[in-house]
Amino acid sequence: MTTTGETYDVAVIGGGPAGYVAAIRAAQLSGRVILFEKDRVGGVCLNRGCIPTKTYLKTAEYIHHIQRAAERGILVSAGLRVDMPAVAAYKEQVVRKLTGGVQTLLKSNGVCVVSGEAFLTDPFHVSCNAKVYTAKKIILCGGSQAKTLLVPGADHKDVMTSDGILELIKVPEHLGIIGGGIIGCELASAFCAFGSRVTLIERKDRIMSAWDREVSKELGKGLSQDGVRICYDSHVEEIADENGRPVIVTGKERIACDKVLVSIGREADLSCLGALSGQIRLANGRVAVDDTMRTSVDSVYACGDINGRVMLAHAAFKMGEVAAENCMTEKGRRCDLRYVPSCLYTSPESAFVGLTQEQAEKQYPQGINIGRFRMAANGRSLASGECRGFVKVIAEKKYGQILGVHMVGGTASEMIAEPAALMAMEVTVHEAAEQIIHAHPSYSEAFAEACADALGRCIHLPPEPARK
Amino acid sequence: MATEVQMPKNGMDMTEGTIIRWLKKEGEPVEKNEPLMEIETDKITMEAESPISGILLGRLYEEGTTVPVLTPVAYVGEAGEEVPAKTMVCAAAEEKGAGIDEGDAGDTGFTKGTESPCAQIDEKEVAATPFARKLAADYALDLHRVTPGGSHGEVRGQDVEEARNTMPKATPLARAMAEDLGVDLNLVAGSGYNGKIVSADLNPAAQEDRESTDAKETGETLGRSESSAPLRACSAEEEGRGISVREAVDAAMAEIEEVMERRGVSGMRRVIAERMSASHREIPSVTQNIRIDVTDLLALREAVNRGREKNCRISVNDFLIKAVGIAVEEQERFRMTWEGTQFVLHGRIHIGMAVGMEDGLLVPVLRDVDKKSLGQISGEARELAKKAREGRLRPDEVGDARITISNIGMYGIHSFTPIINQPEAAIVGVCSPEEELALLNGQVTVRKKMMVCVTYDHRILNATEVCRFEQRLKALLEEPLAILL
Amino acid sequence: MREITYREAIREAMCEEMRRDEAVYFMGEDIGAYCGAFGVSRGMLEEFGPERILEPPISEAAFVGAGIGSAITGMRPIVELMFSDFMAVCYDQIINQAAKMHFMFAGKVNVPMVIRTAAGGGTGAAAQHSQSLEQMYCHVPGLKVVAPSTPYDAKGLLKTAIRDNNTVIFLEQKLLYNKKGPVPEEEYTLPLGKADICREGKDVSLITYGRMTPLCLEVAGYLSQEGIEAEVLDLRTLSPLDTGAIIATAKKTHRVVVVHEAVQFSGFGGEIVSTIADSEAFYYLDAPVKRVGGLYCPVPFSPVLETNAFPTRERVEAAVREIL
Repeated sequence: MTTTGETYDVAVIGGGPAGYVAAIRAAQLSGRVILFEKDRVGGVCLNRGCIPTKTYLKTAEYIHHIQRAAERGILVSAGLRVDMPAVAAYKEQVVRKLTGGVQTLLKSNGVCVVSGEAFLTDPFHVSCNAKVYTAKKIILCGGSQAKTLLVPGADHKDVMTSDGILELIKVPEHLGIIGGGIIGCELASAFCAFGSRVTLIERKDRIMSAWDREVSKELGKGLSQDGVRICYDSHVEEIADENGRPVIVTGKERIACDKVLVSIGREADLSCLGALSGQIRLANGRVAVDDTMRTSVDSVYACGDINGRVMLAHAAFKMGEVAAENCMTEKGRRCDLRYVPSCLYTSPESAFVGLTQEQAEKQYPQGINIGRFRMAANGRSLASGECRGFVKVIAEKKYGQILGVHMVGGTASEMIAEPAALMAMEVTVHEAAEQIIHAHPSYSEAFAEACADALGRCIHLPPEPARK
Repeated sequence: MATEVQMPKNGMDMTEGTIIRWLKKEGEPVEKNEPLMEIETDKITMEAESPISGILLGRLYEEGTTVPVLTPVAYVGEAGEEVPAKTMVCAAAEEKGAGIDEGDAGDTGFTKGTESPCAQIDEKEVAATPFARKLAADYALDLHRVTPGGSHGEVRGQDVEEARNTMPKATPLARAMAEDLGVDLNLVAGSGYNGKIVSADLNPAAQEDRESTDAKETGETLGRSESSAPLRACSAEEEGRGISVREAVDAAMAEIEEVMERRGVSGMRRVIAERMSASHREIPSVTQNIRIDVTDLLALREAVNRGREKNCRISVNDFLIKAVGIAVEEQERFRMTWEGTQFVLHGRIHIGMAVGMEDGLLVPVLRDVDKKSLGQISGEARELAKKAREGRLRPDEVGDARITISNIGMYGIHSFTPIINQPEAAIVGVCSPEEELALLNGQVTVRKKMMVCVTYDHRILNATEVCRFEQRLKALLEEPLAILL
Repeated sequence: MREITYREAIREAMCEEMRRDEAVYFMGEDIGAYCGAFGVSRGMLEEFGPERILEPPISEAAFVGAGIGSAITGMRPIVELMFSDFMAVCYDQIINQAAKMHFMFAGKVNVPMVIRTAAGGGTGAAAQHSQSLEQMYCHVPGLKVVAPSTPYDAKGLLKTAIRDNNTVIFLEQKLLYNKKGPVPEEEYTLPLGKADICREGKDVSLITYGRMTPLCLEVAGYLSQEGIEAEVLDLRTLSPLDTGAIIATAKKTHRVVVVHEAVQFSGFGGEIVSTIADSEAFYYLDAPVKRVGGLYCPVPFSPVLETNAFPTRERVEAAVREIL
């Protein structure tokens, strides 16, 4: 192995959302930066995650609209047919545009990008392609990989992760999905629209089990209405093979499928730890970091999915930025991840920020107020024919601090920005209800109404006693 | 009608005086010009006398109260005579502009049993214009916290606006919590963007709870390998963040345990503190030391004192006063004061003499030193020092010196840097004479040398001017017969 | 726009109204061939003849009484009193008759009379010919009191006063007669009870009327050079009073100085200050309300003393500075 002569200020392993942002931020702060990427920059998010799935989900939305066009008096004479190769090609085009953009950004900021798998050799050296690079600070952004299913038959050729399913150019007739988290739900929603018969197998009594219970219920109802069959409380025991087709065997039934998607969560990809694995401290299988994103080794930082704090691209962006600043300056900036919104792009879509009701009840025993407003009473939702969903606001009783906001329906992923901002600025539910004016008609009015409801003064809802 | 006794105004710059002690009781007869009370000004302590003979009918203030000058403090008249109601007196005093110390204007016998209403008002009410009150109400701002800018001490609208603009930035939640908890946001260091106060700053305990929960959720705390530094603390008390509530409480607790006693400050100590820090703050000062051979001076002094009574001997200090007087007379810049835009040249040569006391320091002043003989100076200096120590200095015996001499030679001090007594141009510090070997006409002899340390105001004097002054002083003290001329 | 004097503006107003309405006639001492003590009625005898330009004998009580008598029979007299001080000799007519008749005859009678009179000092006319007694008329319900400060206001307000069905005391400040100002050729009237903001400002309000209006504008000009923007409110009509304008300007600038020529003690300024004090404007005050009025003395004959008995530029400026 040869050691290159140069010493970099910052070396970043992994060019996903955490990595490329960290590299650019460090370069903005006049650092000499090198970034290692084993695949394509942009990471899972751009290449095999958020962006491709959102492309599919938009396609699915079109399908929903076309299917329901007749309700509005639009008659589509030719039957609806999904040209899957074209759908996949469109997705690929979007992905290339974005990854190309990231590449250009890195280049224009003077970040040296090395293609290849990299790992640590010691606290100041990274090895890649048999060369060793020296850096004063190293940021690990190795990301995560899909958890594998540990049951007999899991290696069946038609059992795949989200990576595989996004490569499909034929719509499977019957798609079995194991795991009702974000990926499972979103792909169920998409392939259901594409024409697959979808069966979703969930270990717990509800899908999106990390989210607020009411949201889970609403989403489950929504998916079922769209034709997804959901099997709750079902443990997969085995994947059997019948004439080459995979059969999901649960304690209750056998489900024969054409393809099986395993989406039971993601785990940190620790391969970049290299020689320091064992020395860099882990917690629950993830790299442990403090609020400044620093690991137990002074010169090494870790951000994004690899530290598992919040496994979301937008949280990774912020962590990357903070890590880079802490590498380049002495400020010791801390990353506050209390108000990271989470979004689910099914139709209807869903989003939340802050605490769930269960968490809030536990953490604020002195009392909470809950305000709800159903989209069925929201003008814009009705006009758009999207009556599913609600907005739920959880506020602490004494001061009115907004603890959590949960949304289903409307443009939840966009609407969540408002409560996220208000919560970060510590605006209370009183100000939200009294001082902020929302456009009418708009989906976000529902948030204002829910805030007012939390204070028991919602104009567009009957008084509490009269509601039943 | 009873005659009112006012807080006297001694000298142009006296604005208030403190009644240290009443020398007469209410109902006690008093002669005209007989001392009635002892008062303390920022310069001296003195007795104030009764303007007429009669009975002391009433004392309006407790001992220890500071009262503006020309405020009625007592009434003297015939027994049984009516005296004006206390409240009217207080109101009149207020009208004069200078407020009476809060609460101290309490009951002194005029309205026995009931608290003086004017004292009450003084404590609670804030003078404010209607507009200021309206704005303060609109902004939910406490008028007590607003610095009044009006010419009558009232809070005006613009003062409220200013106060509001300088109000600490805080999130709405933090404000609601602070109000509820009764926390003054001015005392809280904000950890949010640009110092904004967030809820966590008000409740560090809650924050720590949250962090420890986080740690628990992570499964294990973050340790570091031996080779690396310990993990930095990440709580709100991080460096550069200012003081958190908890730290303030801890500091207060520590103080409670450490402090033995808290002592009130006498007027003199307070004035010394104020003057010294003002001098140190305002004057660009330089100290120049010169060693002066005083062997001959000491010999001359001995000769002069031969046969004199012990209590009227000439001291080294007397020679110094005279010598400094001569040098100051010759060099007019030492008689200048700096008034911001111009120098003011003074004619008469008054020299201050620092007199150390048990609780402070006084600088009585010898007037017209140039016109007095060494003997006169010696006598006056001795008398002034005595009066100073006994607290009997009259107002005309302090102030207006051109230069001060601070002599600590009796304590074996080698050198020091005295601080200028404003507005003088310089101060002369005198140290102990020390024996040393010297070559004189090829012979090794013992000589006595003494350090003289001149601190000067560099706005008025420059180094060469002071060198000349010091050389002149040296010449005079080394050839001391010239001083006697 | 053409410029004419205050005197000419008054004359134009009377002439126009007399041409317009046969019932209007003009009565007063020496207003015919002599053209009045201040030359206001020049040419009016020639135009309107002795039938409508009446010169009664020197008894104010008698001819004001005659005016009232004619008014209740349908005439619209303009009565000129040479000096407002002389109203003292016809108080009963004005206060007990003119002001009361409408009310005591159950509204069946009106007294549509204008009493025009030269008021105020500054002319060296001494104690009995220099007073500003407006406060006394304002105190009597049933009388309207007008005190214009410019030729434009004088003409517009006098025409309205002549057409008004109540008795109007129309005060003309002697020193204003020669002041010129723009007055349109075409006909116009101005409503009674409407103040005029003759200069906008934000820092302090000078509330005034009559001869003090130009003085206040002058002071405002000086203050403006130092960046102090004074608002000048000319009340124009004292009764009915434009309380809305007073309250509004006080609320706007938070500081008020009231300026009038009349003796300050118990003068009309007290009414203005009270208007502010018992309205919501009180809560907007950021300083005590100051009055600058005439000194409490008969108007002196000596020109030097006389000048200083009335508000001067210095006194108004000092009052403003005191509260800023």
